[in-house]
Amino acid sequence: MPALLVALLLQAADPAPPAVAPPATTDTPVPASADSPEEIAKDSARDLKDSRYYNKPGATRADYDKDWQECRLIARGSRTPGGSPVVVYNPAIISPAAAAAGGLLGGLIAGAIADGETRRANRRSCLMYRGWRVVEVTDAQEKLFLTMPDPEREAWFNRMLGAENPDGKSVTRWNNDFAVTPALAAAPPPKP
Amino acid sequence: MRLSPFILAALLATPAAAQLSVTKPTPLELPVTMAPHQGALLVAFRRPDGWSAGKSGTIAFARYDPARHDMIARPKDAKKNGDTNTYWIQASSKDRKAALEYRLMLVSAGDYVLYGAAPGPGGMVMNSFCYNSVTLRVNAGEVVYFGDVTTYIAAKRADGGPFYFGMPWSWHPDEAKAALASQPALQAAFKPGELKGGASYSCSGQMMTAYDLPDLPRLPPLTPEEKAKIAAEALVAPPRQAGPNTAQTPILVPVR
Repeated sequence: MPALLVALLLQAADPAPPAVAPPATTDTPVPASADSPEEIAKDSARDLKDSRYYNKPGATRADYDKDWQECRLIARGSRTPGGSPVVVYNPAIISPAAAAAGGLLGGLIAGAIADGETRRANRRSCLMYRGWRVVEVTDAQEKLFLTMPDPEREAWFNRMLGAENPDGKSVTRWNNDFAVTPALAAAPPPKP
Repeated sequence: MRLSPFILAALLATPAAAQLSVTKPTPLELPVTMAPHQGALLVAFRRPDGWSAGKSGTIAFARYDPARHDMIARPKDAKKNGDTNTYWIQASSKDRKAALEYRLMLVSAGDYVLYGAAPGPGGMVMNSFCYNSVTLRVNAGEVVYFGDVTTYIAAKRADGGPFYFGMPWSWHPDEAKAALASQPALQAAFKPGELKGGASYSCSGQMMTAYDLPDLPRLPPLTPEEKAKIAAEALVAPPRQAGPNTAQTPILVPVR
C-alpha cells in the first residue's frame, strides 16, 4: 500500500512547467513547537542529500527551513495549509475516506497514513506545491560530494537552494495535471 | 420481496432521511423530492475521447467551513446524537460505456469542499486536495451543479512524457440542466455552483496534493487575526492524541 501511494504521489510531479503559479509561501509564523531553529535546520538538511536537493530561485536557507518545517507539520496533520493549527483531534479528520470505508479497508488506509514513507512523500509534495523544485545531481557531482568536507558540501547546497539555474541532471516541479488536462496524443481507435 | 414499480416510485419520492455519509446517488429516472433541510449536488462523468472512453472514477466531497479554511469532520457519535448534517459525499461513475452520466447526491444544506478523486474502479479515494481545492455551497431546495470530471488512466501525452493519470474538471451547466428535463421540480431548482478556489483544509495523510482550477474566484486567505483566533481556540481544546478523545463534545453544526 505505501508503495502504491508513493507511486501516485510521484504522478503529480513531472518536469513540465506548472500550469498554475504556485502560491507564495505563507507569512504565518510556524506554530510554537519543541523544535529550535537549529534542530529544524538539522532535520531539513536530511532532504538536501548527496543525490538530490530542493531549489527555488532567489530563496535562502532560512526560507527553505521555514517551508520545510511548515510542510512537516502539515504532513503530520498538526497544522492546516491555511496556516492555522488543527483544533481538535478527531479520527474522521485523519481520513474521512477511511472512516467512510471502515473495516479492513479503513484499517489499511490508516496504516498507510502512519507510514513514514508516506509522510516523507507528502512533505515533498507540500514543498513542491510551494514552488520548490527537486534537482537530481549528476553522477559526477555525487562522487565529488563523497570526498568533500561536510561544511563545504553544506555551503554548496545552501548556495544551490536559491540558484536560478541549479546544477544537476534533472529538475522536477509540481504540476496541476490532475485537474487540468495536458496535451494528449491521438487516442487509439475504439475497440470493436 | 418484490416491489412493483409504483410502490418503488412512491418510496423513492419520499424525502430521503438525512445521511452523514452519502455514497449512493438518487436515481433520476424516478420522482425525487428533497426534505426541507436538503439540497442536492449534481456531478457528471464525461467521456469525450478515446482515452477516457470506458474509464470509471470516483470523486468525494467533505463538509467545509470556509471561514476557517478547514473541513468539518464528522463528530464522534454523530449518529447517536441525531446529527442531520452530511459530512462525506462520494460519487462514482457506473456506466463505463456512457459518454455522459449524471449523479444526483441528496445532501444536507451547507458548504462542501472537493476532497479527492480516484481514477479507476473501486471507489476508494486515496488522495486529498488539502493544499488547495474547490468549495461550493448547497442551499436547501437547490440542485447545485459542480461540473463534469473526466477520468484518464495511462493516457499518452503529446510530448511523450509519462503516462497521464487524472480527473480534470469541465463546465457544462446547460447540458446538466437539460439532463433534468424529466423532473421539472429539480430542473427549476437547478443552479450552477458558485465554485471558489483556494479552499485548503487539514491534510489527512494519504496522498496530499492540490486541485487548482485557475480561473475561479478564490476564498480570501485567513487574516493574521483570524489565524490567531483559531490558534487561541486550539489552546483551550483538548490536545491531539493517538486515539479517540472521549472527552470531546460532539459538534452539532447548525444548518444555516
